[in-house]
Amino acid sequence: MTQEKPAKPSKSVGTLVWDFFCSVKLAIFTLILLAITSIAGTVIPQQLSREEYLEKMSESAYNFYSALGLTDVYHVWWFQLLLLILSINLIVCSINRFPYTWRMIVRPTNDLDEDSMFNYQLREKFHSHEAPDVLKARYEELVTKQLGKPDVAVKEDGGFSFFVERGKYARLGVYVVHLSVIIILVGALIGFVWGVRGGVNIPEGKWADTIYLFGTNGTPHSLGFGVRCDDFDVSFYDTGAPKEFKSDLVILENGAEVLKKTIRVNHPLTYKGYTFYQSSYGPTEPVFTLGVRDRASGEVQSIRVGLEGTPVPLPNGDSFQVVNYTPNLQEWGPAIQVSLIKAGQPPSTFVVVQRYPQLDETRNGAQVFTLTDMQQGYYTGLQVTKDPGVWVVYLGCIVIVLGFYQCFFMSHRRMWVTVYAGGGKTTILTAGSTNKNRDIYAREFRQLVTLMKGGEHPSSDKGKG
Amino acid sequence: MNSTALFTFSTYIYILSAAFYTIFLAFRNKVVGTIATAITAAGLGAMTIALGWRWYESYQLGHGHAPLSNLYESLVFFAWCTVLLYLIFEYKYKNKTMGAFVTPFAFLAMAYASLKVDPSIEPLIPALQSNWLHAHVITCFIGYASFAVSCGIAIMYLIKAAKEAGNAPAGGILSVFPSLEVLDEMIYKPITIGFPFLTIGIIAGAVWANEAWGSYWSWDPKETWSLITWFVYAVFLHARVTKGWHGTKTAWLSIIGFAATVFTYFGVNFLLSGLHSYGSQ
Repeated sequence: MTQEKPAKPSKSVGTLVWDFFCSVKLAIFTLILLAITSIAGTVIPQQLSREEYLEKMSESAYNFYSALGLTDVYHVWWFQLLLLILSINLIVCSINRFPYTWRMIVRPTNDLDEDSMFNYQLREKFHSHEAPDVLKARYEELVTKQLGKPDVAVKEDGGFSFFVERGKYARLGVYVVHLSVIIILVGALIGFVWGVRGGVNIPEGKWADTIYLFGTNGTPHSLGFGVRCDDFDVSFYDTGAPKEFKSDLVILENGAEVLKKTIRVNHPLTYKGYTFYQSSYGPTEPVFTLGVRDRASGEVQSIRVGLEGTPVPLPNGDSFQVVNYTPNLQEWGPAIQVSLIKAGQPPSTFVVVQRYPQLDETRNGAQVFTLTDMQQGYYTGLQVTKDPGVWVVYLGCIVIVLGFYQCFFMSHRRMWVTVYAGGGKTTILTAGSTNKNRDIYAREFRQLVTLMKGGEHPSSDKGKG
Repeated sequence: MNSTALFTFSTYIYILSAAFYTIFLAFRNKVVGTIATAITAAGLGAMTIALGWRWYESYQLGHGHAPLSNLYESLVFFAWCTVLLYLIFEYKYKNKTMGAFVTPFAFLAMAYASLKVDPSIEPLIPALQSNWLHAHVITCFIGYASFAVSCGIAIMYLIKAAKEAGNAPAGGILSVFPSLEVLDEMIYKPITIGFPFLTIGIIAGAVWANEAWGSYWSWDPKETWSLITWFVYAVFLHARVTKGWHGTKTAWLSIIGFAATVFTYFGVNFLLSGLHSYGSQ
């Protein structure tokens, strides 16, 4: 395939720019430049702080890299420019070559004749003693098996001709691939402009409605809804390697629970375009499990609660908070300090010791508190992203795979046949062409022609194969 | 005996097949060629059993995951794909001379795995517990194996082209090589398989990264090097199909592409740091 360059006597600036962008050399050059600059980005540490760089290299080296943008290669203006040049190049090349490809896709209007058959790599002329109308039925059947049903045009003299093809859209594969690259880059751009990427640490039992954006020294970003972490769990294999991290998350709209999901690594939660990923964890204050017995009814309620936080309401209208804790109170073991809030009164505080559940009986309150468990608490580290471009990128990925299928696994195979009677015999002209796998199609073409002759051995009078 | 012993055994088989393919080159004896193919096929069979066995062993250990999760398993899988692809090519092109240039890649991968890499079966850490793991590893390694086959043939091409430069067709061993024209086609063919598979592998990795880490592309060194490899083969395809580059130039591009592949696979793990460190253990 060679590029067709229409003769242009005097070139305008627009033409020069167009010619610059429609060269495949530019594409190759840009791809090589992108490869080399990308290598630089994997060798030179990226996006560190000035102090971190100075630990690794001299000040002059740092200043040099920094001035060239090599400390953030993939986001520096000239890298983006290379991507832009590649995109324009792809689009211009595709537009430029498309008419040529389109001519190969549209059905040829002219029948094959003695002159035009020499335009094709595969061609053969032979004779038969049988009349055209006898041959017609046989050829139709043979060709249909290999290439599809031909549309036969019968002539007045009894002769006929047809054109048949298979896989014509294989020719569009390269355009589909180029289009997909553009779609992916557009998706990436959408993410770059409108995307949000940040993180937040939420202790068990607490909630947050603000995340802190990455790469901005922690600029807060309001989600417009709340997310609460009810529980975090980490488990390990016998080898000590981590097995699973998971967080029970609840989405809150104006304080009301609207969605609950347990997230794990590889299984995030998405709500209103924001996706919450399990990314880290760490220790916080313990989580307490309390037994609260209503003295009047005898009913016992089990309540899990963190330190401080929102006061927990009790059936009689009072509420309480755990305000302090110790793993060991004067050799008595784990103990907490509870603050009981009665409407219109200052809060009263008292101590609950795990090992002595009867202790709180002596307080003579409306409820008796016991501490049944005190567990290590965790915060869950969530990465939160919103990337409206992701589906565009995925669309591009699907399109690129389809395009590759067309490019590499399909071929456009064409065949022309003209049959006419004259001089006491029937003359058959055949020609074929394909855009790839020439050897394979040449073999198929020969086989088909051999069958059309009704024999096993191809006779002479062949075209070059 | 366990699957690891069988993998080690197939390493010896592959050095034998490389040896027989080389003897075949030297003496052009058909029987030797047939033996070479039979040995290679036996090696592939042994490895296939060992892969299934290792999978079974992982269930016995209570982990239960496909053998595609660490450096040892990936080396073994690379060798398996390369030999399988090579045998398909040998059958298709009816030429055994490539064997001496392609089977050494499988042998080297297996020898390295057997001698230098911890073969123990480890449970999957949370980030690896995803179905994308299989799609990602299998497609990437079909790509890598295709590039290995292409690179082996490119080396053949360069040797033959150097000997034939300006002169009559080379004699001796080189006369059994396919013609330069056929070799040129044989360099190109595996890349038309490898390039789409590498692309699907990168896409599967990107979708997976988006589910695990919340970003489909982080310019992590592994990602970046896979993209660099992709650029090299994209250059190869544009140069050959559109600019009509053939022969020596495209043979070198195939070798550069495979060098980039090897660096993506090993170099990144050992020389650069990043998110993708599972492969180095």
